[in-house]
Amino acid sequence: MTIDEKYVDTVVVGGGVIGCSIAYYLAKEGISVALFEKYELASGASGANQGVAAAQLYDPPLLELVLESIKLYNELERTLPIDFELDKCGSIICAIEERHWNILEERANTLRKFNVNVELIEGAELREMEPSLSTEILGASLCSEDILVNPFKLTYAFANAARRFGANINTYCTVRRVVVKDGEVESIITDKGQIKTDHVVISAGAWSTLIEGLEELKLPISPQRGQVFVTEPIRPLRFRIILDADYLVTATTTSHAERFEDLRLKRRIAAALSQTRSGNILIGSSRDLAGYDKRTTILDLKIIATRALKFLPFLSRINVIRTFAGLRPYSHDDLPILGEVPSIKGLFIATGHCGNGIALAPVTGKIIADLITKGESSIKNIDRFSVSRFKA
Amino acid sequence: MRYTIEGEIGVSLDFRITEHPILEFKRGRPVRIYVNGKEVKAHEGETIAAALYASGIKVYSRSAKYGRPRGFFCGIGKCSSCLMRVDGVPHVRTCITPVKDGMKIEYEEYRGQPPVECEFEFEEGRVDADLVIVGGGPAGLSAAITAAKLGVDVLLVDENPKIGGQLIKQTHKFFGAKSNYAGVRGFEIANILLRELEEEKIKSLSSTSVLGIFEEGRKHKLVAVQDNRKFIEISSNAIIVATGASENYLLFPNNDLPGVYGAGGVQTLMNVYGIKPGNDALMIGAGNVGLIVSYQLLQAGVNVKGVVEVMPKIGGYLVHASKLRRMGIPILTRHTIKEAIGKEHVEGAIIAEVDERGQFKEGSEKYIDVDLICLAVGLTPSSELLFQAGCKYAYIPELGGQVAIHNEDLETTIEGIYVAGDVSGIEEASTAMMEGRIAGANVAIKCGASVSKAEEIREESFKHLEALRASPFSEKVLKGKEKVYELWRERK
Repeated sequence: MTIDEKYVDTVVVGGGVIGCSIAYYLAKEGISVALFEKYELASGASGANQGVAAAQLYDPPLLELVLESIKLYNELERTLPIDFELDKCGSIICAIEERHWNILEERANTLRKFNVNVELIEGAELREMEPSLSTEILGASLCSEDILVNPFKLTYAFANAARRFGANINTYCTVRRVVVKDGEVESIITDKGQIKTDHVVISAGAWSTLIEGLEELKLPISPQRGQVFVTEPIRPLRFRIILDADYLVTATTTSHAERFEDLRLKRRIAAALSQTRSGNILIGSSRDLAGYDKRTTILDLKIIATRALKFLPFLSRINVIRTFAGLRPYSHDDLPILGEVPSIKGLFIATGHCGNGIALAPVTGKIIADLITKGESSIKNIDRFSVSRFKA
Repeated sequence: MRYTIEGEIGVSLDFRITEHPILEFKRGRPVRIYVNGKEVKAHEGETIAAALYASGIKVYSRSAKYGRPRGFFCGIGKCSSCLMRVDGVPHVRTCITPVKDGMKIEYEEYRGQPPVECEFEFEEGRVDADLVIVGGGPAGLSAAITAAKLGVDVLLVDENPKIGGQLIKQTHKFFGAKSNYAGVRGFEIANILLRELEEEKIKSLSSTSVLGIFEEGRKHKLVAVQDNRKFIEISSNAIIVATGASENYLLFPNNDLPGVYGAGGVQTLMNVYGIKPGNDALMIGAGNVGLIVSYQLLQAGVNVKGVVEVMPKIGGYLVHASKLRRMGIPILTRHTIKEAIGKEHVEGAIIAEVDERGQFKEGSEKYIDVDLICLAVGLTPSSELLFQAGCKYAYIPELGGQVAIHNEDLETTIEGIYVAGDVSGIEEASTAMMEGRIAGANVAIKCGASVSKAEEIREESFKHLEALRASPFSEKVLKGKEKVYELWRERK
């Protein structure tokens, strides 16, 4: 696609679910938006994840954002032009060891304080609810509001809706540089030309640090690999999202995973199981830093498979048809980087979502759009997500 | 011919061939299997799909969305048309799973019910080898034998219960040089190669599917599953992927009905398992496969009503075409199938003439009363494993589709991973055997095993390959190979 406009109000860099959500919420407000994606939409982490948004996994301050996202998903189901397979199936975090149960009890109390509806369910009752679950599972915490989406369709739904509001969505166009003049964003340079603009939003996920002109920000983002199995489609079993209680540990321990003796925890592997609408079961999860290497590894796959069988034993008789890895933008304190860069007027950052891109996509779009159009967000203390927190 | 669908199992039918001009079918011990609870007779050595077909059961599964019947198509584990539930396990490829006495086979209501009673027993195994060869057809077998003779420690893996690839079903005599089995029937070549495999004490695993190739330090690690339940990890220095090809489909209404099969799949049924595939057949495609299989259908007692070829000329060798013509079988060029007729199974076909632009000529339609439609409309390289391994690949129409980029020595863009045979570009069994030898010799050279002897074999095989490709039939392949080599040189 050629760029026929020489000026747009806002440029969004990156066509993943975050970029497309931002483009949607901006275009809806009547802002002229051009989005640039170097490959296809959802070709990075947005097309390589399990599509889970589970509030009960989070603590404040992310919890508030995830709860807002889930609320927005319920609206988006009606307003977006593509059915993104929203499944209000709920989630269970399963205790497989005694220590897990104590953690879940403690979390339930905390979550309830934030009006998250969690229930603790023990052995027999749990298996009645989830007959496929292994008898090894001691109990689980259930959150019925948690949801599953098809992340590809979600990304395209945001993009198509943005287009309907006039956004210019460009694929196979790489943003090479952000040009800043006198402390203000002036333009962007792409491989197909230069465009003047007032606002630039960097939402290129793990690739955000490759854009020239942002060096001084020293964005603390690294690609974090997550590996997933895909099984053949089987009859929809309507199970809830099944999460390993160890997921609470593996999701946020980038800096100190090495201290674990257990190879599984060292490799940051915990079971995460969900079934897509077409019947495939997705089996995760792992987290490791391997640069931009998107291959799956036999070491991690074996540990993931072994762990997953402890939760859903019938998986041993189901064929795996594929494995994939996604590169998530890991921010070095596990929290996303959201908002305007204080030293550069008009430059906004929306990346560092780690493995929480789906859980945070709608709210990120809304926050960035609000900041650009109104100069403020309805989310309190949004400043805490600013890139400036990393400056010593 | 009568055929049964799910509801009519139990009708006693037997389509096993008892007399054949070339082949003798030695059937194994009789066993009993149960389809949806009803007894079906089978013989040891038969696959489930073959045994069902022999009893007249021709519907194996139903499509997920519209519930359309699905039958036998490829017969070699590639098309997934014959998935059934076997002893509680969903989605088993019945065409490559051998029968066992007392086996319970069920139709799957909807995309596979997960197993309910699941004894959690899987086995694990580890194997090490200098060279792993994936696929035991002409290319893989030749590679294995060449490398083993040169002192390389070889492991051959094949997902079919019988090693030998598509050679085991070829009843025609091969062309070419005398030193390369000219005048010998394909299945006899397979026997010669299998005997050499045994003599060289080459390790082999049948009924074993390689699912992935991973990097492990400086070695390659292959992940495989044997007999649907044993997980095997294989460490190796080099890999030759010789996974062959799958048969192409053709677009026409009702092309998914049972009774529409790949010509190669039909060959497997009648020449490997000795089962009569139908009474009256229509062959689509007059390339070598179409012509040869038509003749073999006649040998199996099937009435071939005709061969249609959309191109203005017969694609295959004249000798094969003449054989058919002598038998009075019409070969209609500029004709193709317009539609298959039937509800649960093929009951007829409509063929029609096409003009220069490939459009059907109005009024040229003819109805043919057939219960078998064979598609011999080309092959596509089975490159999936190479994609997964991370080899660079390209679409090369002259070679049949997506092909891993490789050099003259058949090495891909990943060091130590080689290709040979149809997966490196659709050709013939004779060229596949030469490519296998070249790849096998190259691995020996890399491993430092009998280097001078290996170089001799390599040079000699290059010469044979060149001779085999000297005919005008090979022009297209040579053009495709040149493209691939060029891409390899530019790979960085």
